[in-house]
Parts: sequence; structure tokens; C-alpha cells
Amino acid sequence: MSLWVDKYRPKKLDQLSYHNGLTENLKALASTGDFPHLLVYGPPGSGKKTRIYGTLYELYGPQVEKLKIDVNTFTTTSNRKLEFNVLSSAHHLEITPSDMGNNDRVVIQDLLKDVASVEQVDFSNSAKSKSKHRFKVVIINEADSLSKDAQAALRRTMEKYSANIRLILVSNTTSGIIAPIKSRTLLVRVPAPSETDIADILSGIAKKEGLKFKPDTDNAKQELFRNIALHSEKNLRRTLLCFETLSMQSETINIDKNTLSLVSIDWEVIIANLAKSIVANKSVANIAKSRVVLYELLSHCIPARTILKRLLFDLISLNNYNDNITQELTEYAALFDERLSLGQKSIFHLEGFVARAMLILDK
Amino acid sequence: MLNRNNDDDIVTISSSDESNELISSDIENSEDVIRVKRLKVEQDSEIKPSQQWIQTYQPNSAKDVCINPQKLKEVRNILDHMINGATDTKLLILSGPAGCSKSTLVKVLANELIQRKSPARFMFGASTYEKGNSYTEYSEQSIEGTGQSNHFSEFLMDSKYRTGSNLSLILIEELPNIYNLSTLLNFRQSLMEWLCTSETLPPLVVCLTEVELQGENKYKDYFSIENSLTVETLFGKDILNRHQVKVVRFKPLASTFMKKTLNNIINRERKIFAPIPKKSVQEYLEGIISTGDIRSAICNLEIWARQYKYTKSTDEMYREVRLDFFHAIGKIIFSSSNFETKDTNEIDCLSVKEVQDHNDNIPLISLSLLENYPIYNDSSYEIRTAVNITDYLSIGDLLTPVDSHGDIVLRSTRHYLRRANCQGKRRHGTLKFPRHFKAMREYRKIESQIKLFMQRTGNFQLSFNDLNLLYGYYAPQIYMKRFGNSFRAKSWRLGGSFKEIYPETGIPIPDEQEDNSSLDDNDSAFRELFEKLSTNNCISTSEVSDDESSLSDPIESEDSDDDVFNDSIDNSRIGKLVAFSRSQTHEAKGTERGSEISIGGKEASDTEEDVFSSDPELNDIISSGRYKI
Repeated sequence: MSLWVDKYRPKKLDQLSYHNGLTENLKALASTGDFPHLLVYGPPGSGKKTRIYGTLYELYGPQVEKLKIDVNTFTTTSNRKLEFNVLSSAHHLEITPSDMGNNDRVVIQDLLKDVASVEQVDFSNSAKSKSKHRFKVVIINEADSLSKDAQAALRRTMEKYSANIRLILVSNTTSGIIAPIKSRTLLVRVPAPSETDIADILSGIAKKEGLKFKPDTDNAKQELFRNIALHSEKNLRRTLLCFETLSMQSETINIDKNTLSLVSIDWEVIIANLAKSIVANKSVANIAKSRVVLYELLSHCIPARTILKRLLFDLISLNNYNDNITQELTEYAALFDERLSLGQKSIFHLEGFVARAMLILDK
Repeated sequence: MLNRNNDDDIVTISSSDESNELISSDIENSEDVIRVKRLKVEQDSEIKPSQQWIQTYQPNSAKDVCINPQKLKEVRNILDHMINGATDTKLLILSGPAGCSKSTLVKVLANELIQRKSPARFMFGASTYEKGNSYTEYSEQSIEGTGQSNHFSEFLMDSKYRTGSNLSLILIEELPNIYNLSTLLNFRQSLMEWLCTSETLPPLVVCLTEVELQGENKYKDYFSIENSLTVETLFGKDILNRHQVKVVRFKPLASTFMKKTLNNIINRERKIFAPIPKKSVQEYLEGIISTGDIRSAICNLEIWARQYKYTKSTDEMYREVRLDFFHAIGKIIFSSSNFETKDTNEIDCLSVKEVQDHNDNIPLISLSLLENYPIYNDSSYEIRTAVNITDYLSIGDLLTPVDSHGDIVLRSTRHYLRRANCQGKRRHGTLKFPRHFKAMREYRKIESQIKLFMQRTGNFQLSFNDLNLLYGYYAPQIYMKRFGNSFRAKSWRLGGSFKEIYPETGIPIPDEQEDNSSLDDNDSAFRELFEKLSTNNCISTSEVSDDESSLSDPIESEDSDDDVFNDSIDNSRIGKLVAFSRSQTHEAKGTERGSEISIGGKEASDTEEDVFSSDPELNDIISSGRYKI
């Protein structure tokens, strides 16, 4: 009963459909049997993890798909128990440092030391086995959310245990990652797929699932797929989810532009409404009212920076991309974005931005 | 002449000379003799009272009680109705700070009202029915030989029969041990039983002195009974929401009533006050009256008056005035009213200082200022003012580690609100408690549900944000469509639909049970989905688990490449789940695999709950704050 996103996720590098040059490079890298530390970055839903797992498959074969989850506990100095998940196979393990909060440095150091101190043993001594790799791969998700402290510690670890460990850092941008790490890793950029790439993937899936369209012409379908891709900001994961939701709505997908409604995600709608109310009613009372919405979003685990970014874009588009307003809004959004990452309670900064935006728009 | 008061064992000595002879000849208790002799040596012949004023001047009738007449009337009416059975109120709760005449009032009223109701009883055997008998007090020692936990309920059981000719008011001032969850729940249970009894019951009154403890309880739960004993924490929502319960809240006594009572005492103790200049008496009175605590005021007055001739000082020895939470916020938003004569800059400066002196909990104050700045003049002032305030609050948040960040937050807020350009008449909204904690609670609940979803569906490779932002919205819709009509829940989203969060005007009521038991639509939909997911895969589950139990390492069936069967991928998923549940429980029985998965999940969710109930940041903030309405 898996979703299409998971069902049609390629398992091997060969099955990947776009960024062929990149795929060739990864294949070449894997075929040497050894590779340097990697920093894979790119926008969400562009296929970073899929490519990493494809590479691992190339290296180790199907064994990397036998995943198991361990819940590790770590006791911090202040005696608080910290639980985090480690996803692992015989050849690699995967961690997400955002589970660890402020203790990420200690946790990662401990974990890597543990992994590195055990030398990789290969039981499969058949001729096929590429016994060259005596290292374990550690995938660190959301590497840009690692604290500076942890990143500094990581760079020592990278050198010290480079015989036993290969790190693959995954992040959306390289801006949150310190220069010493960037210089110690091979940077692999995975750009978002183009609309055509996405349209190809969608039509492939439509064929396999036997979807019916009306009108059933190639042009109309291509147009629909492009629309979905744009609507989902070229995020392939989102595109597939959106497409599947759409296909679930009726037996045949009606491509008629007027009736077709692509589902907008609820939290985006809420932010869009907030932006509208900011533009419509610029008063202190409305600032207080928008706090209700901000808390609503925050309490639903929507990251504050996502809210800020989305709100900024919505405000800009509501003001018809007026140059002066765009410039000023962006300037303050950048300021509050910095404060969000420095500060502790996001509500202060979000409300600060809302108030500021009203002042800018009031002129 | 020696006069022994039975209740209190306090010796009163009259001032005549004969008494000394009597004492020495009459009393065998040598200690008393020694004490009296000493008194004689040290003191002049004119005064030798050893009963404290607090007892001497204990009011005998309701009109003498130092209290706002309106409060008196309110409580008298309620009690009157309760005694005469004219209302279904069965429990009266009086709460307030120490020394605001709560219990005195109840005792006096009990005497008055019960005597009036059955005067025959008092006329008939006046000697046996002393005044103490119109009320029965609970005390931990009152019942011997029973376990501590049953103490209270047995006391209540016994008290039930104090009706009719034996009528008595049941007063609970001393609480059983309520610092332990099970005894606290027992306490509530007993009260609940009392409330649900249909027979006529004697009036039950609880006098609660609300306290907030500080300091050591930093890591205790948010607003638990341990760091703040209030009506809410003690009784909980269930009891307070019942119509048989009435709560009367007392405030610190107003100065006019205090002054009246104290002046009365000064008049009657003219002898002692004679040598003290009128002016210094007045000055001292001003000081002790500001505490709003009549008991401490009388005690202080007595000590001060007696010692005056030795010390001649007007030094302040009385208890410090407290500045409660909302009061402090009000002082920043509206500026303090204590310094009206000074110029505006000085008022602002002093208001900020006053708050800083009494409150070291700046993060909480910052949140409250953010919550409350728009109530100034009902939000009708310029946006620029709001921009400046929020800007400084935001900077204040960045500077939280710096000690002086309170200065920035408090001063800037006061500064800009002072300069706010208000049109028309000033009308202010009501102060609210910051909703931040409410939002945080919601956050943790949703977070734990998303993590649970991640564990149940085996989506470990997804990031939390993707799950929440994308899957959280789309996946439930897709699953619901797939299961079609058999799915009962209508629409839902991972973590529940978006809820608007509003602040509360009072201090939030904590609830121990709420978090575990509340089942909304979302939870049931969530549960249903997992039922469906597991029934759809039940055959493959057992296959996999059979494989598993024979091998020590979790191994999956490797059929994932050809997607002929939809279930093939789920096979591997379930393998993951099994591995997961095994790593948690370590006891695997092939047939019970399905239930084991849910146990594993449940454990995880439980630990999640624990994390959420103890949040150090929040507790830090709370424990150093003071909360009073």
C-alpha cells in the first residue's frame, strides 16, 4: 500500500531518469570502490537521497536495503535523556542531527568514534565481493542544521577516522556549512529537475498505473504535468504526492483548465491568507490578530523560517512585485531570518517582521 | 489570678500584685513560676500580658472582622444558604494570600449562623457546646490509627453526620499530603464523593492560602502543585467545574479596613502607645498596611510598640510587599501608579525598576509584554510604535544570555508606549497570560504524533519537515481514498488540523490527566489508518515474522524490484518495523507480531509524552515567576 513516491523511487543508479551527467559521475565514483567524503546538496525533492542510496547500492549491492532502526539513548550532562533514531544497514548508517538539539556535537562524536573503532568485516568472501571497501558510510541528514560546534568537531573526526569512515553530508544549501568541511568534501550539487524531467516521470507513472485522462491527448497531458510541476515548485516528492492525490479524486482526470483544481497544501493557504490580511488591514489590532495565526503555524511544527520565507514571497506577489516594496521587505526578512537563527523564541521575530511589513506597506 | 485558656495553653496574668502570691503558692508547675518571676524582673509593673494581640483582639462577631463588607456579605450569604440547605452548593472554597481574614471570617460566621439556626442547642447546654463546636476542623492527627491516605476520606465520612441538631461547619484548613500524585487524587476523589452525595450534608469549607514556591523546584512540572499551590492545581478542573462548588477569592486587604482595625487596637492599647510620637506610629502603620496581611501587621505592630522604648526606631521589619505577575506586566504596559507626582521619565524609570526588583523572570515577562502590548489603548495607536516594541523584543530575545537584557525589553516597551500617539479616550484591554506555553504543548503533541507516524509507516528516510509539510497533508488523503468508504473519519491531517491558539486571561489550569486521555477525531482517524494498514498486510506480516523468529538477524524478502504486487514493498516495510520493534522489546513471538509492533510504537509515544511534560526551558521560566490574578 505504499505511496507512489515510495513505490516509484529508483533503487539503482541505472533507474534514475534525469541529471544523467551526474549519474554517470556517481557511477564512476562507485566503480573505483572508494570515494571521498561527500557533501550532497540541492533543493528539497531533487533526488539527493535517491542518488546516495543508488550509489551505495552500486558499492555494496542489495545489502544496503536491509535497513533497521535503532533507538539510541544518550544521557546529557544535565541528566536529560535524549533519544534519537539511527537507521542502519550492514554497511552504512544514517542520522539526523536535528533530533539531538544542542548536544549534537557530543552525540555525533560518540557515535562516529564507536563506528570508527570497529573495523568493517566482510563475511561474503566470494570473488564477487569488492573487499576493498573496509569503510562504513555515515549519512548525516540536514547537515546545515548542525551547530557550528558540531561541524568543527566533525572536521577533526573526518581526518582522524578517514580510514574507516566515509561521511556523506546531505543538506539543502552549503551556506550553513563551515568552510573547513566544504574543503574536505567533494561537493555534489543535485539541482531540481526541470519541468520536462518531471513531466516525463509523471507520464511514465500514469502509463504504469493505467490512469485515464480526458482529453487524452499528449499535449494536454504534458501541459497538466508541467502545471503540477510548477505548482509543486519542482519538488519531485511533492509533485508525486500531489499527482497521486489528484488521480485519487476521480476515475478519469479531467484536464480542462477551468475545472481542474490542484490541491494547495493547508499551511500554505493559511500563510497566504495571513499575507492577504496584512495587506488589507494595517493596524496594531491586526498585528495582534496575526499572532494567532503565527502560533497556529508554529504549534503545528511548521519551521519558523519556512513561514517567514513563504510570507515574504506571498507579500511580494500581492504587491505586484513593486521594486521598492520588494527590496525593503526582503531586507527586513533577511534581518529577521538571521535573528530567527540566533534567537530562541521565534514568535518575537515573526511578529517583528509582520509589524515591520505593515509599516513598509503602509507608506 | 491565673487564667488558663483551655484551647491554647496560654497563660494570662492579671496585673494585680496578689496574683504573684497566688501563683507561687498555687501552681506546682515550676516552669510557669520561673517564667512569671522573670517577667516580673524585666518588666515594669504596669503591663504584663503574655497573650499576644493577635489572640486578644480576635474578632468575636462578623462586624469586627477586618474585611471588605461586600466580601463579608457574599460569604455570609453563601454560608447562610448552605447551612439552611437553600442551595445545592456543597463546597465553598476560600482562597487568597495569607492573612486576609479567610479562616477568621468562616469561624466567626459559623458561630453566628449556626447559633441562629438552632439557638435552643446553645441555650440548653451552654457549657458543653462551646463556641468551638460550631465548626469541625480537619487535622492530620485527628484520626488515630488509620493510614495516611485514608485520613481525609474518613474524616469526611465522619463529618457527614454532623447535620441536624448536631450541625457543624466542616472546615478544612490543614490539607492532607497533596504533594504526591496518588494522595492528591485521593483527596480529589473524596471531595468528589462528597459532592455527589445526595443526602443533606453539613457545609464544607476549604480555606486555601495560595502559595508559590520558588527556587528548588525549577525542574518540576509546569504549574504543578509543587511549585504553585493554587485553587486550580489543588482541585483540578473536574471539581471546579461542578455547580456544587463555589469559589470566593480574597485579595490582600485594602488599607482602609486594615487601618480601622489597627487603629482600634492602638486605641485599646493606649498605655503602650502613649510614649510613642503620633507621627512615627502613623509612619509605621503606613508601612505594615501596605502588605495587606492583617495577621502579620498586628504581630509587627505589637513587637514594634513593645520594643519602641528600647530601639526608638521606625525600621521596617514587616514582610515584603509582593508584586504578582499580572500586576508587574501592568506596571510596564500602563506604568506604575505609585509615583504619580513625578514627571513622566521618572515614573517610567521607577516602574521598570519596581518590576525588575520583584521579578527576575525576564523571558516570561518578555513573552507577556509581546502578548499584551496591543491591549494598550485597545490597539488604537500607530503601527510604528508596535514596530519599535516588537523590534526591541526581538533583540531582547537574541540577548537572552546577557543579564541586562531585561533592561532593554522593559525600558523600550515602556518608552514607546509612553510615546504612543493615542487618539481619543484611553480604553485598555485586559491583561492576558502568554499563550506560548499552550502552543508549545500543542507543538510537542503534534511532534510526537508525526514521529509515531514515521515509526508506524516506516518512513525513516524522510526528514521530519517533509513528513509534516508534505506527507502530513497528502498522505492521509491518499490513504483515505484508497480505503474508500470503509474509512470512517472524514478528513484529517497528520498531527491534527490547524488550531488557532488564543491566550487566556487567567493563569492556565494545569491538568494531569488531559494529555493522555483526550481522544479527538484525529487520533481515532490515525488509529484507524494503522488498523487498515496492518489488516491489509496481515498475511505478509506473519510470513516475515516466521522467517524472523528462526534467524537472529532481521532479514527481508528481496522481491522489491518487480512491482507486480503492491504488497512487495510493504513486505520490506514490515520487515523494518519488525526489526524496529524487536530492537525495542527483544521478545519476539511470531504470532503476536502485529500487537508487538503497536506496543513498540506505544512505548515510543509514551516516552515522547514524558519529554513533553518536563521541559526545562519552560520550567525555568515558570519557576521564577509569580502568578496571581
